Amino acid sequence: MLDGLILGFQVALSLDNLLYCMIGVTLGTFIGMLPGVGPLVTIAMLLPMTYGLTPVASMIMLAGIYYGASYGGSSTAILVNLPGESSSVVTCIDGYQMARKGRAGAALAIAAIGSFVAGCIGTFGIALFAPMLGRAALAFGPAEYASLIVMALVATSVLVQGALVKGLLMALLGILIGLVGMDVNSGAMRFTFGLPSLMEGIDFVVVAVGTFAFAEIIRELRPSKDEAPGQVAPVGSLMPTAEELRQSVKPILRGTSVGMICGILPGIGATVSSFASYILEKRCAKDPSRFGQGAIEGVAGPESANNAASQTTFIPTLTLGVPGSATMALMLGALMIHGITPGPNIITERPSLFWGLVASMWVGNLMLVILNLPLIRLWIVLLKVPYSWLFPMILILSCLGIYTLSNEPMDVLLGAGFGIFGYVVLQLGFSLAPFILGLVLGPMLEENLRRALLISHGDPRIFIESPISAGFLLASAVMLALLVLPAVRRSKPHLEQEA
Amino acid sequence: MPITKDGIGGILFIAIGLTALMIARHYPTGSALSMGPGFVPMIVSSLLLGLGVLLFCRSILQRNETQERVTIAWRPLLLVTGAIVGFALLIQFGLVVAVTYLVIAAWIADPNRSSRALPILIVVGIGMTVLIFKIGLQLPISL
Repeated sequence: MLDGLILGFQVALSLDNLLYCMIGVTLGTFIGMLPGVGPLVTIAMLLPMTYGLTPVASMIMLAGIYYGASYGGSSTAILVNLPGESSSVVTCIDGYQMARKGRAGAALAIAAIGSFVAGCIGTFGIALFAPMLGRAALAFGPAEYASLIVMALVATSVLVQGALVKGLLMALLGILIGLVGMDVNSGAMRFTFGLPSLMEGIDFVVVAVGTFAFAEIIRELRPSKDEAPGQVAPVGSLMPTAEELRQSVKPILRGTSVGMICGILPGIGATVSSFASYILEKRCAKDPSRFGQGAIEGVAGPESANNAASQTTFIPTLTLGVPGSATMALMLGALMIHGITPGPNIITERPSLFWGLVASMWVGNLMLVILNLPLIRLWIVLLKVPYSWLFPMILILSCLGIYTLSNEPMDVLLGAGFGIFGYVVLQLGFSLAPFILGLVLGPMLEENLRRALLISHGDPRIFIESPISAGFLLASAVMLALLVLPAVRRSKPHLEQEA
Repeated sequence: MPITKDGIGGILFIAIGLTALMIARHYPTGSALSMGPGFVPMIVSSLLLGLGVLLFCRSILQRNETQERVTIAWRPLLLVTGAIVGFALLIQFGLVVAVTYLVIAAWIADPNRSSRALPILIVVGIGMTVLIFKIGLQLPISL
């Protein structure tokens, strides 16, 4: 592991990669601060621009955008009570109350410190656990993979906003879209409607930009929308008091642990971890009534948790090739575009990619603290950019991003179609996270299903006879069963779409 | 009978499931031992159909519970889609034409537009695309 980390820092500290990391975190913070643009839209929109980079550089930059956007999102949550993304929804509760009491600076500082501590521990966690999980995953056969994918899809469907059935429907539809094109085993054309441009399947970026960027623009342009964002609270002193620091130590550590566990489990990511951490802090507090009134623990815990989770969620994505959230599905898609299939062997086969990414996460977190806290007053200007100025630029970047994939106007038309689809299903109360996960995992599921049944000579018992596979399936069944029980269904927290 | 979100969602997915099933019917399913190209499509479309029916039936049964009506903002939906489709058709005439059109179309879709902003948006839009795609990424697109 030490050798790996040394190699990683050599890669991450090279001038080029340092620059891409810097661009990534700055761009991420920039866009995370802008109202109405989340990390998903950002990554979907900027994906095509990373094609020209080396795989390492593009992953470093995309990862930078990802946690940069999380930082930016928490600042928006604290200062204007608008969560820039779903994992900072909880931060709004106590962060904004602190801001109203003139302690916005302290809340921002604690959020940044908490995120940094969580980032450091999270990075160490990846360095420690990813190789272990990678080795364990070497024992995975097709049956285990198929069951793991099923579990990831079920977990995502269970946890998203809205009914379970709707989550499952979206996951299935994602799988169906993933089937479009030529079947790799038989060469048969599936769902192509005779269109030659569908023969190679629908490009992942087209679907992602359409359903996230285009649909989001249509949603934001509703006429009743009041243009000016709410009052921006004054930042005040950035220095937390000794008392506030002392109160935050334990929540930061507890939040980090919660986040790391949630991040590793597929389908459970940053958003769930921030809710879990908030609930945990409220339980641990001597005086729970302070929560909702500006309790600093309510900022420190969830902010550490969501950052730790955003780091450790790379573990299953990279070592198993099974992403835990929609954002990770986008990252996985980016890797596949570079011809890299993540899996247990990625650490041994591409050590510089894996360790470089790990080290760059730590570097990126450090950059964010240095960049953001002193410059927060500069960043605040971004909160005042009206959406009228913003969305034409998002539209241009998205359209050109799709078009330049293969200089094919048909792709842009398809994207427009997915925009309509995304908007309609969002209005009908469906979530897009299971859909995008199904899209990425669908082909993998089919391939592993086919191989598993080939090994067992067509006997489906192979999925139950392997203890690991049976465990995954059992976990999926338990999740489904729990949700059918009315008591659990009522107490299910209303989580926003996982980002 | 007011149609609820879940009711429409159910109908939508029943339609998708049925269509997929009709198409997938023609693909050879093979056997479990050697799966044909129709094996997984058949399972997935049947599940879509089944769960769609479940969603629809449940929405009928739970009608007394407060269910929101669906609101579709047709104006932005049609205008934004039109803007993107127009871009796809115009890109063959070059970057400047397509981007100018896209900005104007987007501007029309914006309920809070101001006439002073339009020329600035066009200039910024073209400048940004030239800078990123022509100079930065050096992609072979004609201006």
